[in-house]
Amino acid sequence: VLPVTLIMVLTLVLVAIGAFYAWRMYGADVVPEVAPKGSPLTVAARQDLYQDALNEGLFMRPGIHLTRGLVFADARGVDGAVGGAAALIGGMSSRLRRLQTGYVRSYALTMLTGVVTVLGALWVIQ
Amino acid sequence: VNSLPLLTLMMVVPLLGAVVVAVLPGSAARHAKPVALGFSLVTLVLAVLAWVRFEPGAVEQFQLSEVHSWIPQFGVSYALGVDGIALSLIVMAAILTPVCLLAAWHDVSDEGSGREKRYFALMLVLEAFIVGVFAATDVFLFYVFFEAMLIPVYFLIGLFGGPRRQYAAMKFLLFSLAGGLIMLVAVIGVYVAGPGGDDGFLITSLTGNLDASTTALRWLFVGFFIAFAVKAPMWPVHTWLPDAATEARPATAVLLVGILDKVGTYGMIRFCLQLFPEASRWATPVVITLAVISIIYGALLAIGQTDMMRLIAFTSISHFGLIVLGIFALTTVGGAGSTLYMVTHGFSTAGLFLLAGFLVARRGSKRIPDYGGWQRVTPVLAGTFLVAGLSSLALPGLAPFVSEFLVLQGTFMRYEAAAVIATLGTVLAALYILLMYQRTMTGPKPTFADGESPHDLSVREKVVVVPIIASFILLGFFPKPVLDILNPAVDRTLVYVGVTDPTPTNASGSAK
Repeated sequence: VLPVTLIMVLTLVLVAIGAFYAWRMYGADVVPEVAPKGSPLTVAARQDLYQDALNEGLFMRPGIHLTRGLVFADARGVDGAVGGAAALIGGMSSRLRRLQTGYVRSYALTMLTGVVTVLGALWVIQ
Repeated sequence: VNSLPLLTLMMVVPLLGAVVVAVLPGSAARHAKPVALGFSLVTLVLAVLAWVRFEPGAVEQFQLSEVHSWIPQFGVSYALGVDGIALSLIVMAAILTPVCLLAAWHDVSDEGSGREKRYFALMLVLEAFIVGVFAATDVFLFYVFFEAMLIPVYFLIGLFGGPRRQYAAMKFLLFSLAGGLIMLVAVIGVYVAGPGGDDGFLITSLTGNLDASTTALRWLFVGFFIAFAVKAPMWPVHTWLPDAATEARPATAVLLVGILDKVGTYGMIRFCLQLFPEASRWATPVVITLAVISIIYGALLAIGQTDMMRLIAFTSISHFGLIVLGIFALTTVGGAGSTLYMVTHGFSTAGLFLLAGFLVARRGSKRIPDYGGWQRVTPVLAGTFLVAGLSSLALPGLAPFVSEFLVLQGTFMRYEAAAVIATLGTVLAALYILLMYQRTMTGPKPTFADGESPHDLSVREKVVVVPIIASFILLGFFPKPVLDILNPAVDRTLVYVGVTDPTPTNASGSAK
């Protein structure tokens, strides 16, 4: 087992070597105009290991599309079905209303149509 | 004092208040609001008396009972009474009504038209009907109140709401009427299948006494359930709620979404589960599925809203999904959670709607993009809005957390998958609340055209907020007083349904 002081000294020496190496690599160099491309690891580190991109791509953007799509579908589909049914009934009512013209001849025609329909139905059944 | 018909009084007092307010002469019109508030406070005192007189461990299902024959030919009685669930909802309504009246103080400008009197009178009428619908122990009487409630709400929205108030009021009315008419068929069916007689519509004489084929009883269950699902509201019959909530005044929205819609989930417990045990167990898979869809769907749509009031309405659809989930999980824990949630949701929705309303009153817009940086202008408003939001997203320590946790735990005991998916709803809740806060309150200080920045909460507005936030903290740390009166009612309902809690898989270590 090495004595404690030796370990301390060796550690500090190692730190000094590291610091010198780093200074040689970066500090002593002329600072380039454009940042060097760097290794893939450096690039990944610069991008915070892509965690933001991952979150945005996996959750945020699909989430935005999903909620927007659902808001649209809720207004047009779910609520639209209700509104459509109401509009359908309203439209049918206003067409039916037009049959009430006040002319006796058109009412008589309606009755005649009804009689023919009933007789026709009876004839078909028998 | 012990013989006072408290429940009837709690309807008579607000109705009387409504009449007094409505007939005040023009010279005394400025007293309309204090008078209305006074009557609602007297109702609150009566509610407290009812709470004190209520005995949690009583043998009979309903207490404070009043039964009088009304139309004996059809078996209809004027019968009131409460169990723990009904009582806690009535007390919540009695607390929130004066709060809403105070919040609505400057909603309507009068100028001698009498509009203000009508507005406050209608809110008192609504309070009376709310008490009636929760206290009715006769199915027919319940139906009468269920439909009668629509009238004041229709006018509150249609006369005093926003630009599309008539569309929203009509939509609310048509949805509710459609559900109500289906229920009417089921109400008649229940009487036919029941024992009949002078008091054939009493819940106590109908429970366990329905004599019809399994299929018929299932149809009757469906009839009740559709009405309650519209009311609650659940997906896919929810679309009336966002329109009603955004067009109504914030105080009306609180009475509607926070209190009145609880009739839906309350009705599921009182009528669907209690009267149709077999049909309830039969329908459970479908209801659980619809509830889970409501939870996720409501949350996702809340995230996509740009209108604050619509956003809050969709959060409520999500929360109503959780309440229904807990009810139909058919466990004591889930039932306790759901019934507590009905109360806590009332308060947290009130907080959100009223504070958003205060914000809208200052800026004149409901659109979230019109805001930003308001915590620098109105810090107290921003802070209380955040607390209300955190309560809505069920932050531990605030009331809804307790109820939401119980619902999820109670559901997990029987339906693990549903509970897991429902839990995602709580994650989405954080998104819609915090996004809304971020977009309205944070950011650079806004500039105002006339150079005059809006003032922070006034004394009146603070008085509105204090009881709401107090309820978050009180029920968040000490829900026991409420749970103590809810639990016996939930246990009794599950006895009617004929289910017992599933045994925990690792039961050896716990002695419950």
